[in-house]
Amino acid sequence: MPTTIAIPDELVEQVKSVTGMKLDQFLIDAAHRQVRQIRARQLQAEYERTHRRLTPRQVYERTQAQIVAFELKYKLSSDQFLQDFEAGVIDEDRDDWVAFYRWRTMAYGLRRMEKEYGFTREAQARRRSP
Amino acid sequence: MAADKFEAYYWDIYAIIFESGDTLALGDPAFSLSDVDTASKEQAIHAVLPFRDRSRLYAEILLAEDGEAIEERYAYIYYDAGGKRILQYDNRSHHPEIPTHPHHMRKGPIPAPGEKDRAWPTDIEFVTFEIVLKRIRERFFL
Repeated sequence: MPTTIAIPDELVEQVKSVTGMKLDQFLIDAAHRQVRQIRARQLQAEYERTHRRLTPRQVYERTQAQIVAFELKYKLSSDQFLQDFEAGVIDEDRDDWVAFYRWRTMAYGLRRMEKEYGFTREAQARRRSP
Repeated sequence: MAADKFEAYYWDIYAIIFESGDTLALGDPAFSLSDVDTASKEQAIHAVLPFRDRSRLYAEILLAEDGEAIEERYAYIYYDAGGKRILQYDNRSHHPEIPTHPHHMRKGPIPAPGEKDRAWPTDIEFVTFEIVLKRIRERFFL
């Protein structure tokens, strides 16, 4: 047997106004996301048409070269750098505030490529030597 | 599968940049964004975004390893036209005293040598590229 309850009109109006506002925003956000996804796909298609994709090895070599430059500049291995920077043992470089964040991102990125593709710095060095 | 997610996130960021032409100076030679291959293989995104008022945002983003749209490690550093830092969001884990640890923010110029660069609780609940860009737009361009 159904139960009937009485809801004051005032409460109904309050709920409607809140829901209506949220619903409007929800629909606007949803439409915005949809447009962005379409645009992202268009940009991707355009890129695929006009660029040659890099192989994992090419990306690895480039990232590694940039990391080696950091290691030489700061006379620190990337492993030591990550440990010290994350722990706050070393702070940002005042002459290049962004540098250590960039190094950090690339160093983690390099580790991930090594894990994903089995690349190693030693193998890379052997490839370079005659 | 994760690679597809990284690429999707990358193109999403690309589209956000593309649709921010009212505030970003996309033709500025200082503009830079990682290419999609670097982003998907490194699982990271580096960007320098010059704004129309000549302020500049540096973004360093390492995505979660499973490819989900979570910025596992990030730093967003926003400078004014004169190169003075205005604010910085990062999650380097060296401020355990901050209630939003490891997420924190810095405000104002980089302090002089010997002075402390005070960290504050972050005012962004869930940091993403989109939200940081939106926050800068709201605070400095509207």
